[in-house]
Amino acid sequence: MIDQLSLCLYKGETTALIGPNGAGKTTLGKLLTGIIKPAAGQLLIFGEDARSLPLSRIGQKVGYCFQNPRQQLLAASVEEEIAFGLVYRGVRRETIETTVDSLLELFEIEHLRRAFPLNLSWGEKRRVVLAACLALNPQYLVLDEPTVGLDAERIRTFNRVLARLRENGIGMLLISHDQEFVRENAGRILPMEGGSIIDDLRI
Amino acid sequence: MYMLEAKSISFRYPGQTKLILENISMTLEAGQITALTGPSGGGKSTLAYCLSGVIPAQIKGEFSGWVTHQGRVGIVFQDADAQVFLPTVEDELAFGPENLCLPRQEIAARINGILELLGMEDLRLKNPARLSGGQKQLVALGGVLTLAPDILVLDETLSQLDQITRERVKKVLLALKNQGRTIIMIEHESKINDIADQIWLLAEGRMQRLPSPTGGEQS
Amino acid sequence: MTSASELDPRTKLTIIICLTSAAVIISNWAFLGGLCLVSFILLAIFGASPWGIIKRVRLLLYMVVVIALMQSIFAPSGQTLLAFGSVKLVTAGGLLKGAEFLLRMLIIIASAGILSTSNHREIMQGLVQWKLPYEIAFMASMGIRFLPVFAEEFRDAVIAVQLRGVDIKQLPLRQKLEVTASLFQPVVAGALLRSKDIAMSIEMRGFRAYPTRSSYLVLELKGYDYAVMISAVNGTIIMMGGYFFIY
Repeated sequence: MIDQLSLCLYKGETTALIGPNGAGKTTLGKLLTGIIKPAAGQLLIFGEDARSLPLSRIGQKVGYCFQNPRQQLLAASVEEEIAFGLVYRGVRRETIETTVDSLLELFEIEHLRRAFPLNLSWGEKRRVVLAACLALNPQYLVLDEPTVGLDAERIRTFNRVLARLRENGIGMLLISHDQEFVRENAGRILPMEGGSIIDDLRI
Repeated sequence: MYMLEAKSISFRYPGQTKLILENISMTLEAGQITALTGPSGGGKSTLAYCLSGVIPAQIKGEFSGWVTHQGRVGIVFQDADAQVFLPTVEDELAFGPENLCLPRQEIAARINGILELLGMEDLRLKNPARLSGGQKQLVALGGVLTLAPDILVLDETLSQLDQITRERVKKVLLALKNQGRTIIMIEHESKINDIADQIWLLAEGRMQRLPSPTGGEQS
Repeated sequence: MTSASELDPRTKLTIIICLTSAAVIISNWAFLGGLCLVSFILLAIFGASPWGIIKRVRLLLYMVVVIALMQSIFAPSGQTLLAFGSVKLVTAGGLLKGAEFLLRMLIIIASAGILSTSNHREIMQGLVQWKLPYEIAFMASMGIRFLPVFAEEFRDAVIAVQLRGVDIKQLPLRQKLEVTASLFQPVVAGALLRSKDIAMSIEMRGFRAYPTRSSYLVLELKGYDYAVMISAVNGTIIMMGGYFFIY
């Protein structure tokens, strides 16, 4: 599906991966995060060889949001979902509570605090997953179609969140069809087609 | 003559205190494309379920009001993974017509027609589960189109498609509209301004008609 | 020459019915061993990789081996090979019974592998053309369709946990159990929700709108299908005859 692809993504930069359905964007996103292993070639994540890195180590630095938010929901309630990674990494309870509260507020899902995540609408699931991802303070984010299911107002909020993350030096890879969203956030655009990156544009 | 008429629809999911839909009425005419927009979690999918009959037939809750429609309703859900389950795209497209006991030649004609219309000929024998998200959504749409529904409900179908495919699907929808079918689409405004005849905003359980992009009447 | 995997699903069903019925009736480890070998050879002929199938079900196989060992401990017979005081732990007869159980399970696994060389729509159509009621054939094909999905969802849940920076292996025991339990939750809940969603989707696509339905896919038995089916049945009868004659 992807053959002989070479790419360098920079830490503090926001890159967008665009292209038609089936071009391989999600596959590339998963390869870059170590979720799927390349058949050949070398992958370095933050300078370390991905093959020798367990996915949990990568997960401590890179936040990944699947295209279908359902694939990432693990807990019985929204607040447990957001707190999940923190709880098992031994973070103090007060810190967890503050983080969860602020993220619930940021994504406007306080009213869903005790809701069962798998029962929520697509857009609500998406916001829960984003919150859970950001709770872990990742140094780099990979977001696969993050705006599907979000209305204009929520996308604006999300853009503000991303802008703030950029200010703090957090880099990201945005896989998206949403041209407006890409224009608003990306400094570098990589169009993909048939498993290859066909251009490298800086805006 | 209305293709679809909904009167005073209210709905509350079990265990919820608030009504997610409150006293909603709307009418859809033949040959019309209606857009339904609004904040996420605001009840758009729920309304789509009410209009297509999924509520109250398959989803429990407190439903009041009534919906009548002329002809068959087809609905494409937001989650493509929940709709494609057969081993090939061809099987997916055949499923609906098979359920309607259509003869094989008719089914073959419909499958060929839809594959061509949606530009999916090369996906005919592929396993839908292995396709990309957008392609799956296209297969889900195809599976409903082979039923030749008179009323088509699309829940965020376009937002998962890339630009080229989106334009293609819009052309298909316009063709269906010209055949006298009714289409209601849940999408964000910006994407379907160019083809929608009327736009409704659903927020806080209430409906409000927005100024028509094509210069139609205001409500 | 037609490839074996292109055989009609009904032919494959006939073969596996022969294999599994024989496996259930026969209780001699030598015969079962031979039958097991035949199943895996057939599996390879059908284009599935025997080793691949074993790898995919290795968790199941561990359980089977454990059960086989337990069977040999709790149903002792014959010469005692290993005892703990007066308790017979391992006996020759018990071991043989355990081995028979393991061989039967392997035959069943190989049969499932043979069946998997047809897709579930074809299998369903085969059952329907054999006059099985559509709803039952549909349920069976859905089971076939979704079993691998649960395995996949479990893997997805494991990946999701790791992506949250959690290394299950490094956790203290209590948390390890908690997280493992939380892995099953999305799979089970996901399965229930998915079946609800699919039910919604198929109902909206006319499922059971009428008492019958037509089918775009039509299976036709060819000459070689009949030849294989007849050979399979004959072969089984001959083998069973030989078994009953000897024992």
